[in-house]
Amino acid sequence: MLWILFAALGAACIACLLQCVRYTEDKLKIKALPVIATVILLLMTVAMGLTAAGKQVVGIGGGDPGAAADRFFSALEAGDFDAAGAYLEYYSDFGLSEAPEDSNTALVYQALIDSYSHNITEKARVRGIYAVQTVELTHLDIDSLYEAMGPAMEKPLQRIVDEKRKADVFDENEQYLPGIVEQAYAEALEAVTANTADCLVTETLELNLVWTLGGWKISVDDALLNALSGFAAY
Amino acid sequence: MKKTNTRLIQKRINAVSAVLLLLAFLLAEAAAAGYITEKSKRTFDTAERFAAYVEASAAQVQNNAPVLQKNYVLEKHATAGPKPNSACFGSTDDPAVVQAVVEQAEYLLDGQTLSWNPDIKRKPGSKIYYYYDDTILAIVWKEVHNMSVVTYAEVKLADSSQMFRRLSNNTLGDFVWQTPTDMAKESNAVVAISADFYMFRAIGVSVYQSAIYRNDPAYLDHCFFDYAGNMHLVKRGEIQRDEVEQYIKDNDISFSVAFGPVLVRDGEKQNVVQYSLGEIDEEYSRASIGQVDDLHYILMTLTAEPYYYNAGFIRDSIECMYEKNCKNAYALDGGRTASLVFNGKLMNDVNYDDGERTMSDIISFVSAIPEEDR
Repeated sequence: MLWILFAALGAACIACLLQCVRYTEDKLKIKALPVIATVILLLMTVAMGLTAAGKQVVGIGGGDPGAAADRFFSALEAGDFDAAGAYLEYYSDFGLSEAPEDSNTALVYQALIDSYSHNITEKARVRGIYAVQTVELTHLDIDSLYEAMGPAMEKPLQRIVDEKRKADVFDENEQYLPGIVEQAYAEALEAVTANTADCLVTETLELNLVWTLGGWKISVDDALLNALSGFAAY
Repeated sequence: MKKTNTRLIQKRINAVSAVLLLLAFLLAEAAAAGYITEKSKRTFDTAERFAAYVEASAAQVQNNAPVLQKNYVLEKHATAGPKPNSACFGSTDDPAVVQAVVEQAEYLLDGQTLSWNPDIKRKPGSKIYYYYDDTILAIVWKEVHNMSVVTYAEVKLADSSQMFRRLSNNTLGDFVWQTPTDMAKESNAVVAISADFYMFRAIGVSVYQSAIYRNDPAYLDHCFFDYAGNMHLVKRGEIQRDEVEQYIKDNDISFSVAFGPVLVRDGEKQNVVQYSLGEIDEEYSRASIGQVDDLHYILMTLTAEPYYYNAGFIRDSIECMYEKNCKNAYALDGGRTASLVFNGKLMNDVNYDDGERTMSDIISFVSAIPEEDR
């Protein structure tokens, strides 16, 4: 897209350049306004060309990339995915704005969303229209949650086994009948997701931001997506 | 002519400028349109990946769920258990058969070691009797000790509710007495032993279902059983009448037996020189109960049988219970009372012509598996 903008600026620049001189009678007149526009467009074209080529143009970015990152995470913590999506480059959200349909998966999802908290301790490193912001993000670790699930299931499972007739729990091979383990799983999941303090992890992320006409936007990468999904996505 | 050319050149320059501006406009439009389109529609497949990961984790946890044993617990203060499963009783001359049963009972034994083992030297010609279901393992066998016959029952329970004191006529203080065999049958005991015959004498502390029936601790050693199935041995003089009630509360006592003396305490053989009951220095039939480990007991009668003409002294009871690894052991009423019942049958000889006597209480060990769960 940057190259398209570069081409557009270049075309406009040439168009203005052509309008800088005018032939009247036998005189060559130079027009001030097209000259100024040409100079401005030329600078913009060069900047855009350098940007598109991945070079850094010092001094183009404006505002505070750290504030954008902070507002992004604050919106997530408030459950406002639309507001958070406004801080993403190219993307409207990071894919977790809707709860899963399955009730058990939805419990894990909600625990994940509720687990987000962030801390920005240092200023962003800005280089032109790019910035890197270090963020300490605390979030649920899905693997830790499921490590806790094994022991947590034993109590409800034992209760179910003890309460029911043996024939209502086990088949002829002494294996659980369908639904028994699922019931224990659902009960354990409710208990484990109600208190996830032991399943949280805090990691330091290097958040990449880019300055656009709409302000600083976060360039989503796998590390960010993985953190936001509790290490469950990538 | 020159003027015409200049105008023509200017027109062409304007045309090219217009085309370039139009192109710039279109490119800008295209860039903007692309950005807007991307912004409004683009998202990640995080949700699908997240759901798939969670569902896979859930499946793994559920697949790894351990197959748990059902815990059977009888009602508090039950005085009878469910009928034992007749298919679980057995008798054999071959210790290997019993050893195979013991190996099946690995979960119930929970790492504990039995005092019975296949190498035990049994009374010649005697069989080994056993019962095993998921809640109780009982092995009964006979040995010879100083020309006396010792009938042992080793019992491992799954839950303490499976051991209780069963009273004659199932009523506290009743003078309608019953034989230990009848009381064992009525309580559906897998195995049972005669207790202290509390209605025969008026001394000692008698506790039943946590209630004090009699409170006279001065002359006897006592054995209290708590609701976890542990034996608490209290020697005479170690507790005063006004302390008994608090002792019962503090130690969560279910019932007591008052005969004695204490035979083994904390793994130590006791030196019993004098005792007011049981004619300790005379040969009498003896009955004892001991605890090896959690919910793990030894019941014992020591009697004379044909060709083994001696009954026993209290020191024999001490030796026998100590040899069977009892950490705590206590003498129950002996003489004609001494009875060990397995599967509704008296397993020891009663050394009196009239045979098994009626008396007031036994300690019953029952299965906890209801018939519908077999």
